Amino acid sequence: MSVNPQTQAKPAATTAVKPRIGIGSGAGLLMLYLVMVVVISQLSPYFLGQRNLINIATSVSVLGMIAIFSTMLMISGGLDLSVGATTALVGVLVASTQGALGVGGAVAFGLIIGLLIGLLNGLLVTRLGINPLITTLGMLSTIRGLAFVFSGGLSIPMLDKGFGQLGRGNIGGLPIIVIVVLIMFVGAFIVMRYTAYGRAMYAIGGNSRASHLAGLPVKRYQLTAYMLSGLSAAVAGIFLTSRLGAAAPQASTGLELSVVAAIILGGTSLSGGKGNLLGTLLGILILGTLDNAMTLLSVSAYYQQIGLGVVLLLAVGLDQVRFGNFGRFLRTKN
Amino acid sequence: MNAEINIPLLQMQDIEKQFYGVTVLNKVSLDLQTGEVLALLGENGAGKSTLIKILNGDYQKDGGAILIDGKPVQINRPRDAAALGIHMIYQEQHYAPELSVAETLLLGKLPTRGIMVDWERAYAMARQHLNMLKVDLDPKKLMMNLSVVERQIVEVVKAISGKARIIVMDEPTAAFPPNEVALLFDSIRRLIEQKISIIYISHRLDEIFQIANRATVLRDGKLVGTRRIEPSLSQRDLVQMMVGHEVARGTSEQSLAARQTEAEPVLTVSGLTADGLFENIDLHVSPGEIVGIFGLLGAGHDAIINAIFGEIKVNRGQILIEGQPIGITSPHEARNQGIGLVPADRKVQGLVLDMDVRENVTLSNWSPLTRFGFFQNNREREHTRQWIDRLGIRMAGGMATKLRFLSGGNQQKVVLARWLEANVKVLMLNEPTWGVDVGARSDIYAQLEAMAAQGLAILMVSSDMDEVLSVSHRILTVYRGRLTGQFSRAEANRENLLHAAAGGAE
Repeated sequence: MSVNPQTQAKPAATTAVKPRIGIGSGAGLLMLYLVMVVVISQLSPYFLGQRNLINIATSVSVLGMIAIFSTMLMISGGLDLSVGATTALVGVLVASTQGALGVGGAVAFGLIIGLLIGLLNGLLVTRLGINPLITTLGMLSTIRGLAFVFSGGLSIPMLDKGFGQLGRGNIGGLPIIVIVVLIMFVGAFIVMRYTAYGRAMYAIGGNSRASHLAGLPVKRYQLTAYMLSGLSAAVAGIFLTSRLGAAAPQASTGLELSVVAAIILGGTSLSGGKGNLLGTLLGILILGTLDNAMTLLSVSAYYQQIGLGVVLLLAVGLDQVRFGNFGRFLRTKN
Repeated sequence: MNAEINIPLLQMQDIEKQFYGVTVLNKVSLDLQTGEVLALLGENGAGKSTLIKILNGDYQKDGGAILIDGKPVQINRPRDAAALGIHMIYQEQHYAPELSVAETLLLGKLPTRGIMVDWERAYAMARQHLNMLKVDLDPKKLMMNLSVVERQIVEVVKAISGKARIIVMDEPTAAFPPNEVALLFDSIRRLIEQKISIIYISHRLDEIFQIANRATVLRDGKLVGTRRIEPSLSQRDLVQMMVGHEVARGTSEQSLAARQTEAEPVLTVSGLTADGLFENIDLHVSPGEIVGIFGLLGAGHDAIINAIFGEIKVNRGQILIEGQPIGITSPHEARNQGIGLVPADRKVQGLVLDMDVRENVTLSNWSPLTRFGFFQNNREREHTRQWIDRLGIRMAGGMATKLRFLSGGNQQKVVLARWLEANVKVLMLNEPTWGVDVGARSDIYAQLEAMAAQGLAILMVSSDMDEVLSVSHRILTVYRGRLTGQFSRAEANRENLLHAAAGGAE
């Protein structure tokens, strides 16, 4: 048994010293993505074209808006599966109240609804102590049902020109929706990395009991994280409605699973306390790029789903091999 | 004694281990004879835990050899160690909270009748095991409903009931009241008669002198030496081997003298009652005073400070800070009133293990370190640096080291630093040196006294009589949720404290 302790020690040392970067999300995932880009660009000449790249960015925008705030929530140990349904309900409510409230009023109304849904999720989790998975699964079903009730099961058009600019307009060649997501991302990144609020999210997710006993108002922080999640779903619903020119009650079905997939892919822990937004960004890009590539390569929609699933399992599995028990087992055996 | 004929049961030879490029074990050797108690001594970070984790297969050694009955063995995982008859009782408790005491003790070997568990017999067997330690514990109770101390007892009983040749005990008595320590020692002596060997890690030197045959001392990952425990060896000799220089222990008399000035109490509690836990508690703590609350296992003394901290709902009574009645319903409010609590179970209740030293030290008070919610990194580092130096917090990778990688004593110092950083007026501590070694323990005591001298009011709950006697200026005893005695430093001694804490009449 002659394991060189120096080489064994190195990865552990970097994790110990740089807690937020690295772990599962950094180098390995970036490599995976770069390999993907190189391979796909060889297979399809259109892939690296400017138009296609903007297409990819636009197509993941709605997912991205939600995933940013879901990442914050998950780092704090929470989970919100009601985001997809909230997106649909807010879209339906905005589109159906545009006549009565005006476009601006309808949008404001939609945002308030998103906040209230987040508040309700947060209250159920923090005050009644219901498990977040169960709480938001129940809310998912309830909210989706409400979307169908308010729309009568039909799509509602929303053709206001100014409103349409939100989802379809450009500034300097970049879609407004992409710019908005980037601003949200940078803002959230700064908050998570440099502010007391971000620190609280990590502390509560890492050990909520110790955070509580250290004097942090844990429930209040958790509540705000759920409210931000609800609000982000509302913003996403508004942009989606604008982009499509209509709101549909079945919109964004299953979006919550893509959100969770992107976040887990990015290395954020399901049990909280660990993770970062750069990882989520990569996770989103990988999902969006894969989706785009399979469409470019005319892979049937059925196989696309399988492809996404396999990539998710591979990425997370590789991570376990590199950093988990299995990896340690392999390293000590060799 | 001829070593050639009398082959040691266990030999660990020239064991080496490195973490993150830092050598934690440098050619450490020890041997264990059949039927002896070998004490393994050393300060935090000396390498004791690493050495026994290698013995148990939790870590892989980087060099050296392990021999059992003179034959080299390969221990790659805990299962290998178990097969060789090595049983561990770790300082950190590993238990399944949802299992009952009986299920924990009989894990994997529950008696069955057909396909069903024979609970009658299981409870009887568990009771039998518990009786070996004369422990009066309901085998039907769930592990999560036991106190820290009771869980530790179950661990000890479990090890004893297993078929082990070598039992390693890492601070088994850390949270025991004195009378229970004697019970454990009785059992250890019975084990010795049955030719079972014990490696015994403890920071309580008087225990070593009571129970151990020999002591192996480590310092900074190196073997200092092995000494036979005999009358010519003093505790001071061992401490010197561990620390590398002479140490003074205990309270300095000057700080005691300074104590005599009675200031207005900063914390006053009157008639405090939480039904089922404690009743009618009156106490007060003045700035500069260290008040110890002593009680035996299950006396409810820890519930009192948890109630003051807002963690336990109070039914009656009043809490006053600087004469003003306050209503505290959460630790958040307690902190805002200037009250801090260092909990007993630091891993679960005290620390965010995946955060680093800096983040844990500043966790309770961000406002002086932030501007518009943004951390002022330099200021945060300066504050943290100050506490690291002042408390002597030791870690491998500077203040960016995750708490997970700190030893018990250093973790406890981080929790202490957090409340000092939060600038509280009243600091409450629950079993402040549970699982903390000699060096860190005297650092912590010294720091408590220094803080008291600067005007901090300290209220300390402990089941460790020596601790209460050596640190407190005034001692209260609790028996079944009632105050049963109050002693000045001069009046208090082991006898009258134990008498009052055991419910004896005044």
